[in-house]
Amino acid sequence: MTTALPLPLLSVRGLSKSFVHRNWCGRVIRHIPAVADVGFDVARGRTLGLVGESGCGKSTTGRLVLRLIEADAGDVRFDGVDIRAAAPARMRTLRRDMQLIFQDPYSSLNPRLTIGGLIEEGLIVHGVRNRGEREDRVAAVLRRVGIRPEYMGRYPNEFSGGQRQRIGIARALVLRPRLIVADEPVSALDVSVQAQVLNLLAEIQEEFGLTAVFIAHDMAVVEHVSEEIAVMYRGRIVERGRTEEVIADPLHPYTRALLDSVPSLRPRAPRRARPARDDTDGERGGGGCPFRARCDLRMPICRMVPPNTEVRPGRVVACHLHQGQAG
Amino acid sequence: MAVHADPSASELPVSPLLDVSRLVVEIDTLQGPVRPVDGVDLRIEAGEIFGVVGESGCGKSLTALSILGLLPRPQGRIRSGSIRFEDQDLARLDERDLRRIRGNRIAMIFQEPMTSLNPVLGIGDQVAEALVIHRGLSRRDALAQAIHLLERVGIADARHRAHDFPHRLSGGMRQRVMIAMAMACRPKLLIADEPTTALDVTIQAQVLDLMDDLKAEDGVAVLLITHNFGIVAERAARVAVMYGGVVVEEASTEQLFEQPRHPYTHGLLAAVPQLGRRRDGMRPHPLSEIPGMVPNLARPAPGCAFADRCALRVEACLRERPPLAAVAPGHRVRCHVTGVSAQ
Ligand SMILES: Nc1ncnc2c1ncn2[C@@H]1O[C@H](COP(=O)(O)OP(=O)(O)OP(=O)(O)O)[C@@H](O)[C@H]1O
Ligand SMILES: Nc1ncnc2c1ncn2[C@@H]1O[C@H](COP(=O)(O)OP(=O)(O)OP(=O)(O)O)[C@@H](O)[C@H]1O
Ligand code: SF4
Ligand SMILES: [Mg+2]
Ligand SMILES: [Mg+2]
Repeated sequence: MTTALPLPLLSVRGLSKSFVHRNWCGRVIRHIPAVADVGFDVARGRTLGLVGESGCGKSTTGRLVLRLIEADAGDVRFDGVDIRAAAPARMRTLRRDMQLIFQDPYSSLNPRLTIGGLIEEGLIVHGVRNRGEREDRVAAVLRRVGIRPEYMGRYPNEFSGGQRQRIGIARALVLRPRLIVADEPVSALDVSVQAQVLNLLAEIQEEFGLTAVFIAHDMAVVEHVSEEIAVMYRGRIVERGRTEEVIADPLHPYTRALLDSVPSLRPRAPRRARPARDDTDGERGGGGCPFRARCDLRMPICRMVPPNTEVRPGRVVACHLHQGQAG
Repeated sequence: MAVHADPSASELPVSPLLDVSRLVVEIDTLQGPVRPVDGVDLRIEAGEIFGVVGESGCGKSLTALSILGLLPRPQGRIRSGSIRFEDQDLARLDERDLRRIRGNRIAMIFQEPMTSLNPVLGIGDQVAEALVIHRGLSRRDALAQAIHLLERVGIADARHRAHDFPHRLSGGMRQRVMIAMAMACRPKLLIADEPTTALDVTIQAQVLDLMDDLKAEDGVAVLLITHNFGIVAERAARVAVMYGGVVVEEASTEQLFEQPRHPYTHGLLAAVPQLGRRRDGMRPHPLSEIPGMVPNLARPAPGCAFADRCALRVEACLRERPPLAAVAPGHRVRCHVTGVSAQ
């Protein structure tokens, strides 16, 4: 008998989704494999950071996890429940447990509702009938995110970007979820406001024991918030592991390029070599490693999709350079 | 080698390429006129990269637009101050003279290149057009030169790609085409307003490398506007930090990052998450925060713009506006408490 590891709250395997792009008369021009064979676990109370460049499939992954869009293939388990197979009634309760926080606090809040109304909406949808109870919960959650409950009757446009992001967090939090998918929650904010919102998220996560998937393109932000990092490139996870290890010792050439490109706060840090390859032409599409067009280390075998090699427990890299290093 | 007998040549320090002094910009709004730029001072030397950093709304873009004579009309105007460039005060030139300087002696690139590129003209033709207008080349010479410039900014296979329309290029390539166009005019000063904000970090680094090369090879001075401290630390020789329409600190990059003086600069630097801070699976310390919010333009503070958020505030801060005072050679600070010379 083996001692069972605690069940991760979120477990994703083989998740895939293609979008069909059509021309104006409806003919299919191409299939965009937005997410391909993505897999990861997130332990209870932990945060997984999902990073990668624009269009690599981060938001699509987040939406698939919450089943806001339907996957083509794969498995998403939330607390052991297969959410892709969940019946509508079951899905309704699951929806309450899994909340999304958006990037853009401006467009994600309905401008015609007061902020109190916006936050209350979720409580109504999820059947909190008692009006007094709803008001108490809205006031409490506003206070928790640092917005005065007296402002409940004001409209979103009366708040700054950082305050609107707090309102977005309050709206997710009021339902007492267990999992949060935060899709670039600080990307639109200035550094001083970003620090306020990141600190608030950290406090709340600790206080409520929340599990999170945190999507961002800023490596330093992701390092700050997550215990584990998954790096995506063109729909695939190319590297995954404990945050400190991935940052200190990146294995995938793309992770390295990404880290090398982050400007540091040291003046005139020595310039490092960067991949200057133009990836808009040539080696693209078809099978093969999605990074090969830009990779300085590519080999003939890179025309095949690299397997996800687990080089150490919990440390996965999809690169032919590291194949056969499992151990 | 003979030294010139010209007496003015011995008059070091030479005047800077661009000297913005006490620039005030006024904009009419429904609530009356506001001053988003309220006394900005900047000095940029020939051939240096000068960074301007500050949070959203502090007046970076309006400062750049003033230099170019491109303030929104009719509601915006330069209220007072001077913008000395070479031997002229740009703040006093009429539109015709400004147009001659714009795109010629001073070039600019903006955050979203798509809005500045012609969507129905091949990229090679657009660069060639700039060469015809600004350098008076013949069409044939201009096209050959354009292809050369596109190669220089790293567009692979430029001869063929010259016929591509902008929408077929990636964001990073478009920004590089914008740089090629700016360089076509051999400017003395390139104003780059958030040139890489919309780009992924790997591409961002390539575009910034290119600007470095231009500075080194052609001696172009670059006014690099960004809200990213990291970019400034790596690329600029000197930096100005803006807050609420004024420059609160100006220094060499080393001075600013190693010995920041102004409380706002301190606060911002401490609020930036930095790579490599996480240890042994522990959550890193909370980021330090600057309490409060950016100032309201409609109600300017009589004293220091940062006073309501500042931990070092003394009584004078609320009453009197601090001057931009030198605390060390090349290091100026606008603060009643920390803006005192170390000597
Ligand atoms: N609804 C959709 N219809 C068609 N294509 C889509 C749709 N949503 C996403 N895509 C495509 O799928 C790919 C992945 O998009 P996604 O939004 O997940 O990327 P992302 O990593 O979140 O990028 P960003 O950092 O820009 O937000 C992109 O090529 C995108 O164009
Ligand atoms: N046309 C305008 N009418 C009224 N106010 C304006 C106008 N343009 C700018 N402002 C205001 O002037 C201030 C400074 O604007 P500016 O665009 O220079 O800021 P910025 O530092 O470039 O900010 P960002 O980092 O967001 O680009 C802002 O508060 C802005 O709202
Ligand atoms: S002048 Fe006063 S309020 Fe302003 S930054 Fe200095 S100490 Fe703070
Ligand atoms: Mg996204
Ligand atoms: Mg701006």
